[in-house]
Amino acid sequence: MYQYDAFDQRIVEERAAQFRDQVLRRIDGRLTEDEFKPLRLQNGLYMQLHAYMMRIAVPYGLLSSTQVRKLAHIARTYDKGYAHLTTRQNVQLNWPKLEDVPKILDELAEVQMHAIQTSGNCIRNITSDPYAGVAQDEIEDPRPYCEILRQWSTFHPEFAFLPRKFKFAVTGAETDRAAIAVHDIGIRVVRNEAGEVGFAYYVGGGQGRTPLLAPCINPFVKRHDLVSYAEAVLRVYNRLGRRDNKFKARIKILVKQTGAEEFARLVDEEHAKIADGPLKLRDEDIAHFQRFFRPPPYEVLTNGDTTFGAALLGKDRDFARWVDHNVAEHRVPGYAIVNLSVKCHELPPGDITDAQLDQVADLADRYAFGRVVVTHRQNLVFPDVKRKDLPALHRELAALGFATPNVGKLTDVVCCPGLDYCNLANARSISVAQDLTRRFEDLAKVHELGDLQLNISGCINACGHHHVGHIGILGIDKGGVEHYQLMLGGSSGDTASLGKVLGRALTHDEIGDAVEKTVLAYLAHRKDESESFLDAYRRLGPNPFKEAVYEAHPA
Amino acid sequence: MAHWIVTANRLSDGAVVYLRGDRGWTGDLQQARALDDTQAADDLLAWAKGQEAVICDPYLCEVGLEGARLLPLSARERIRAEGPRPTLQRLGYLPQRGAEPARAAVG
Amino acid sequence: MKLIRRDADGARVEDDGWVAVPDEVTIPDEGDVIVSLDRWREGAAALRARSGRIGLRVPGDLPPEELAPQLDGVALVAIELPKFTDGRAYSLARLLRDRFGYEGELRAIGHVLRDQLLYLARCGFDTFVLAEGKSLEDGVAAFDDFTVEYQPAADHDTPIWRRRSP
Repeated sequence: MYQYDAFDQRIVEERAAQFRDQVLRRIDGRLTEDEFKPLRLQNGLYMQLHAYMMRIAVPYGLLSSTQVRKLAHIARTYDKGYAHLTTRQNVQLNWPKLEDVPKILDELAEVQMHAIQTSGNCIRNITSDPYAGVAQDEIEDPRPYCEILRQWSTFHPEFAFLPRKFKFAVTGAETDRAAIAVHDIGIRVVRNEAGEVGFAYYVGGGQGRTPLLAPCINPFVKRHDLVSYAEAVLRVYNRLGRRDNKFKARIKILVKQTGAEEFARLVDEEHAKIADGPLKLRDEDIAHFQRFFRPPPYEVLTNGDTTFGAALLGKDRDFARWVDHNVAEHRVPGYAIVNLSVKCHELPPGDITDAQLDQVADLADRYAFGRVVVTHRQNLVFPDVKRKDLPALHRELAALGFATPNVGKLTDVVCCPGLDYCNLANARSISVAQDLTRRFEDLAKVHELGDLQLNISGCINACGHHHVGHIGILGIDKGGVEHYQLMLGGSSGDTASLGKVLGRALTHDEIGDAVEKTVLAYLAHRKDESESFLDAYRRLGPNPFKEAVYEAHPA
Repeated sequence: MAHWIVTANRLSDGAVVYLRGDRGWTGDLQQARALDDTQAADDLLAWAKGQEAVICDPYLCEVGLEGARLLPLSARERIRAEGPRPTLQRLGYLPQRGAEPARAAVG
Repeated sequence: MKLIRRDADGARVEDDGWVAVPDEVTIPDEGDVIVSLDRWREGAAALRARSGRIGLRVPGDLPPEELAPQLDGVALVAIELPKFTDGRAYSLARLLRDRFGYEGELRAIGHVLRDQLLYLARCGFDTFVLAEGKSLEDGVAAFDDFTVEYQPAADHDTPIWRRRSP
């Protein structure tokens, strides 16, 4: 992974010192709250319902075991002993004190981490495919490009005060696991007919109040134009994006109103003027970053090099199910990608304790070359595990509670903090997630349902990514009382789609039953076991589900 | 008749606080000064907005009255007053919001 | 009036040698004056004939293409930030420097706060008039916040990866 040099290290240390001074100036009154707010946001510090919330950046979700241990220590020392994994591969603390935040930043800087630009109207974390670098269907590792974009965007002086936040996602595989269709800029690494690597740029996607799928505004940006093209897009947005209405200020609104073709033309016009400037990447520049992502010292193995075979899989059903659902194929023979299901009833989805973090770090060192990735589903991934280590790792993960074979299934709920914690929320999301997790405790039922992504957001800001859940739940406020919209048919993958609201809003008491009825309707109407929920919905349309959920109480 | 209180977040740690009659800040909703006069409420809010050294983003919040008891009128205010259930469950207690009177009263 | 200047020798507080002339006020015969773009457009010839330099005051959201043809004979451009969170002034400044080759003084006025100064400087601003009540000493200190930058801007051409790559 990327290693800081003296420049990178100096930047994060100077940033921590700068924020320390800003906090002092807020406390002594030289800065008003209005003046301090954008500054603390640019260091990821929100004011939430009961406390500050601090969002720590995890560039493209990648963590070393050293960093994981530091996060455990920070959660233990400065917080209430836990951290939260987010849908943008970052990590959040729920209870930091203002005066401790500079200390936390100092500690993060010790392990090459920071909270820079994780909030505010600036360029945010560059996210990517959690299987980056190891996916079987990889075209090229996107992480070096993510790192280049991260550096270009950090403290970019021209784009520090955009009309609104700006999110990048980059995928380097044939299958999109980075949700590029719903980002401000989504980038897909592609090869042209000549075999040259370039980038398909999708601009103007997003969730929230006006969900939109990003049109492709340029199917092949040359490799060395990666950054200059991004700069052109940002400059057009900075100049023309709306600033009169916060809810119409994202680039997706600009692209929609301008029209994708005209928007692309504006970008091309700007790009033509800067393409040969200092942002043009040389081969050596790219090679420099690619060096940090060279493969770890893989042993030469084959997929047959396992200490388990059909016999163990037949005997140990738990292990077999876990391999089935939580383990993915790896590029390198003899290796596997292991998903850790961090979800359990006792904790809100995505929450992980300091003790668990320490244990994850330990397991990463022993089984996974010391690397862990945060996923968009608020889980973790060990990208490089020897297949022959899978039985032992499974036992250890099971002891930790991270081996539930439900990744991508109904009880692998993606859920924002919601009204229990968040200032922006309309309704609680965690209680809904916990209710549904309890209802579907029976793994057999969960597996019967197959791939089924449930996403819950407490408000229209969509941090739970409800628009792209196969089942999406959105918390709304009706006269101070929590209500929920149920939407079906969203998807963030290659055939991205936005979910459609099924019927009238439901109360907190009704939503659990509604999801159960939805799921029963799927079982009743699917062609056969191999037709997924999403496919069944797309084939059947909403009516059978609507009848099932609302028949007794039509809208 | 509508009753109003002033509430905010404490600058030091973001804790929910309510404004008392003596112009001190408390974590206990029941100690908040409830006013039925909108002018008085606006005046109190204006005063609170000058307390940036201690609190952030004060606002007026309508409350219900049941005898002497103040009641939050929305899910959001209920959760602000009671605390987040998931954390309370995990830590095994309901935080005594009034239990730090020294800190809250420092204002 | 005092402002902050930042150049190759660093940042310092200075007296302002320019006079900002509102539209309703007669322009003095002598001295360096800052006038609105409209006024310049209406009477450039007369203004050029004066002794004393001409500065333009423009809003931060002015399209650069409108300003670029007006720069001949202009020694100072003062860009007004309506609110410090409005980032258009940064692009305007950058384009004036990088695209339109403007070499005169670029001044940031309006809602200018200490914590934006380094960003403004990197986008090409030379002088800074802080918002009312803000400390100039604090402002001067702001330029020391960071000693290294990741990306090229109006101030230099070297992305950090080129500094470190052989």
